[in-house]
Amino acid sequence: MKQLLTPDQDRFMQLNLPESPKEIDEQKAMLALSRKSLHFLYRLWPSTRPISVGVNSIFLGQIESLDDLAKKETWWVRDGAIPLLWFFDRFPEPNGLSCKLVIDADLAQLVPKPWRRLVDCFRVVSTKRSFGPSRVVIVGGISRIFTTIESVEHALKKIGQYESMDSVRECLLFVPAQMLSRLEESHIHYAKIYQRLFQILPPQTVILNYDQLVTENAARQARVYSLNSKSIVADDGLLHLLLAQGAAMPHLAPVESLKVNELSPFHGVQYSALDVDSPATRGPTFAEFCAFKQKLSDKYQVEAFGTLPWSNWFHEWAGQRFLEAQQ
Amino acid sequence: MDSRAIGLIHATSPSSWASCRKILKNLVNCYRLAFGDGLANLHYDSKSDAYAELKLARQIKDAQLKTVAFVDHSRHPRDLLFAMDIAFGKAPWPELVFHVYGDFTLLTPQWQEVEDLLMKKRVKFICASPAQYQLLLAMLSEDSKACLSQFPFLVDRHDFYHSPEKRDQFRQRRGICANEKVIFYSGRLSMQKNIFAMLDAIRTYLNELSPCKILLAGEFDDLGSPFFSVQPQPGLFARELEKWLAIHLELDVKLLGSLSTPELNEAYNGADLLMSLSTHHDEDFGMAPAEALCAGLPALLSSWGGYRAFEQRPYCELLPVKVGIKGPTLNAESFLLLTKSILTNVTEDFQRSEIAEFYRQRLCVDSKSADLAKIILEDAEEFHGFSNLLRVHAQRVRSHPSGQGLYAGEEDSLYKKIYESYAPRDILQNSEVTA
Repeated sequence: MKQLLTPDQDRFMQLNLPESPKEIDEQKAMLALSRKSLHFLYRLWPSTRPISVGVNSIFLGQIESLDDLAKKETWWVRDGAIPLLWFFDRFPEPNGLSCKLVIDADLAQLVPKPWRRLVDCFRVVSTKRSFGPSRVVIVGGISRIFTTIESVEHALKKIGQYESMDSVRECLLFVPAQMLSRLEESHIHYAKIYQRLFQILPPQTVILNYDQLVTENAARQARVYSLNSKSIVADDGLLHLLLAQGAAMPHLAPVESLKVNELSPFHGVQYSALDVDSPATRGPTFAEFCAFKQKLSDKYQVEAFGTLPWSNWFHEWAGQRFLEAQQ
Repeated sequence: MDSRAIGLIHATSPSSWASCRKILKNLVNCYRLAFGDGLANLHYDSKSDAYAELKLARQIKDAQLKTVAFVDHSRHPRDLLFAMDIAFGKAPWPELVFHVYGDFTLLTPQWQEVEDLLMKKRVKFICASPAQYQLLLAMLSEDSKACLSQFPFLVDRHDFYHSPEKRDQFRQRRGICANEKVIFYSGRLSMQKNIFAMLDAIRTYLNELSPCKILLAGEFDDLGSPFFSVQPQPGLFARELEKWLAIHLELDVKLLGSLSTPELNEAYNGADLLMSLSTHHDEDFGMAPAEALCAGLPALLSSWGGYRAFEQRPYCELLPVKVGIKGPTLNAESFLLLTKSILTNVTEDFQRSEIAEFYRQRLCVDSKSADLAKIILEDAEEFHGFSNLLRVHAQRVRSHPSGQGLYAGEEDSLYKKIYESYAPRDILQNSEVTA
């Protein structure tokens, strides 16, 4: 017998992911899920809930070394701008790797030169218009990891491009409790975010819990908006679920010439080659990040953001820079 | 001494934790025995508001108590202490006695909040086990260490006792053959208790332990291990156990559900070994082992936290535990040796009677009332603050609501610093073994 008995918590740590059993098995076979990466997935649930795209989906924080990536030919990368930059900083060169990484098309600019030949892009799209012209669902984490007042302003402005709040008959809001912290200063942050949201959203806005949203299929035939930019999670598992249940993004597939691979009767995905110069791709470049990091030198202590593996200064810089690029 | 000089503070509504309800009942009875029925019982509602607290604080002041003892865990004393600060003004405070429960670490922010208020007051923190005493020692400043005492949680001798008749009844009712050994677990059926680790270990050595039956008594919970960010979905533990049992049919495992106190006493008498390999951070004492041992049932326990104090070879053996930055792990090397040793060597009725007597002397309400009186009547020392470790820990807890992910960081050494007193030092240094 082995000399150590495995404590039950280690056994359950593997079962505890918000993943389907099949995905857990596949991921366990491919990647050693560290406590840190499990924690990351857990804290950002339901954005990190599993998606079914026919390719191995991954958050790059799960990668311990580049050898992990060599285990599959193609990886569907769900990370947003910050973890993607963090990954390229950890691994500036692919070092002979031949697998493909498929990233969100909006993040193309982040890919440093040595990696470009290995990267393709995806874009999640709606394939059917929503029927209910005045039903709106707004989802998103409001913790400081995801949002600032500025980023919420930006999200609301974006919603305003498609919706006139006066004519919205039904507005549903879902803020995942999993992502909330009970720190004193966080409460103030949440209060400010809610205050701003309710200045803009119609008075009849209903706040839902997860069960009401998902189990009761509340988003069906509604237009769905996220409060979050793609700074942390680019490919949001909750959005996939809502889209599959019949919610729709406000616009249809943006590039007519690209084929849509259907993921559900209501949404799908378009693939494209990496185009760092495309006007559709916005955000800080990897070169900008390197220059900023150089300027910082050793001035900043690397102080982890509680549950996230990168430092505060990096989180704030990349988040802010990404937001600016979106505006 | 005026018996009214001791005020007992406890909640009107019972704790949601079964073990805490028993602990409170037995502690209160012990105080009664030690100081007579004239003790001032000061009840507070676990949901009382600030005004109710102020009224209670004034009641404490008016009663001119020498000592106020917080014996209940269901509510942290912080709010009442703040109210006492208002009620007492510049008047001298009674001595404050805090019986410490397993959630002390999770409540470090609340303790830090009352640090200034407690300064220079006469305070006693009473820990239930030597391991918890060591844990708290590290949480107190050098000048405050004299504020620490140790007194066990107690067992009611009328509830748990040795009885050959009950053994026969139990075994007969359960259809247990004379040569069949019963390994018994009592407590929450929870990930926190290492039930799977225990079953895995028994299964590995089944040939050498057969014929044996495993009985698990208790209710399922899905509390998981929030400190390490392991939060099972509702029902997951039960489902996994069901699956595991369906695969490992070679093991004769029965789930008894939640047992009443008389049923539990009968089961302790009917079984041959109590096994609990918990390495949960709240294992500051161990009511199930205490009760089982008082009923004369020998035990194999993890060498962890409060369990360690029960060691009394050959009747209560400990399985080594190593605590690292990723949490505690059980060293399985001696599992077979210890299990077999108890099952083959402790078989006689006189031995079980001896076990019961030994532990009843040390753990029963009536046997310990004189010791309690001595501790309480001794003048308390002045409190001079907590240690930096408590402050660091409190800061950590604040940023992890309900302790979620408290020690989940991979390079986190805070867990080890806090809980290394829960595993013996020699094991810490000498068990660099790999799976």
